[in-house]
Amino acid sequence: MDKLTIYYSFKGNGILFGPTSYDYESLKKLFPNAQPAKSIFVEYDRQSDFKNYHAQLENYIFPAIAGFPVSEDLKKIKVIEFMMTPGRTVTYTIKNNIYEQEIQPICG
Amino acid sequence: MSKKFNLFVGKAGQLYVMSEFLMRGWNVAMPEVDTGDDIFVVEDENDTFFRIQVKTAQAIDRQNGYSVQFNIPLYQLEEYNTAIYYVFLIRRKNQWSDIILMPQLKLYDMIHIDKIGALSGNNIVLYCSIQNNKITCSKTDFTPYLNNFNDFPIIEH
Repeated sequence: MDKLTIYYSFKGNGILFGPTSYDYESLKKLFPNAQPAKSIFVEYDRQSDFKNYHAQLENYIFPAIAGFPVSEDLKKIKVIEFMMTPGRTVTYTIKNNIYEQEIQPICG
Repeated sequence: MSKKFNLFVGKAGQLYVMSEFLMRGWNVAMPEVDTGDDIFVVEDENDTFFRIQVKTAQAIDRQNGYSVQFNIPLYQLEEYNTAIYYVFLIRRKNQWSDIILMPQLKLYDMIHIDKIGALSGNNIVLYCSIQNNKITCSKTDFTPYLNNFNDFPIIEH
């Protein structure tokens, strides 16, 4: 799997993450013994400034989306990108387990 | 067909869809203020909640089958959202005909990745043709979503 795209969008009380519908199907085929997640919602204190810190989550979110812990198997996914909607802007990319932040996280 | 009649058709479709969910044991509600969502659907026992967008269209008979057109406001498809479901309902020969259910994420991907549909003002227009029980919308096979109540299993009360 060359690239896994994980959408995310800000809600009033947290952030919703999830793979594209196509990538979800690809994950099920690539890792038949895993249980990929359709979506993960991370709830925060509504009054907090959680939108400034979401960039710390990506490294934990993608294994949960894939359905199993970080391992050699996960290197079958060459690139994991996090795409904010609306706008479809890629704000964070993980390449071959080398965590790389391409663009500063967009806050709010 | 007048704009006023379209309002009647839309409301009729919305109420029909509500009745279908009720018959499956799901509770339904209509928002008091119209901000875009047509129906709320809830599985009472475990708080599973969906927002439903109902799109109703009148079929036009063709030589082989029939066709319909659905208009979807672009703003509804700008943001990824797993809680929204689209229900496309077809009215044909004075009866409710086909019902297509699709999660917003799938439609979002079809529009933004596969580029289906035609942009018309602030709407995405889907042209659908139905022939021999196969539904094709903007050259994409929608047949798997026909009567697709997989995410809404019947709840026994």
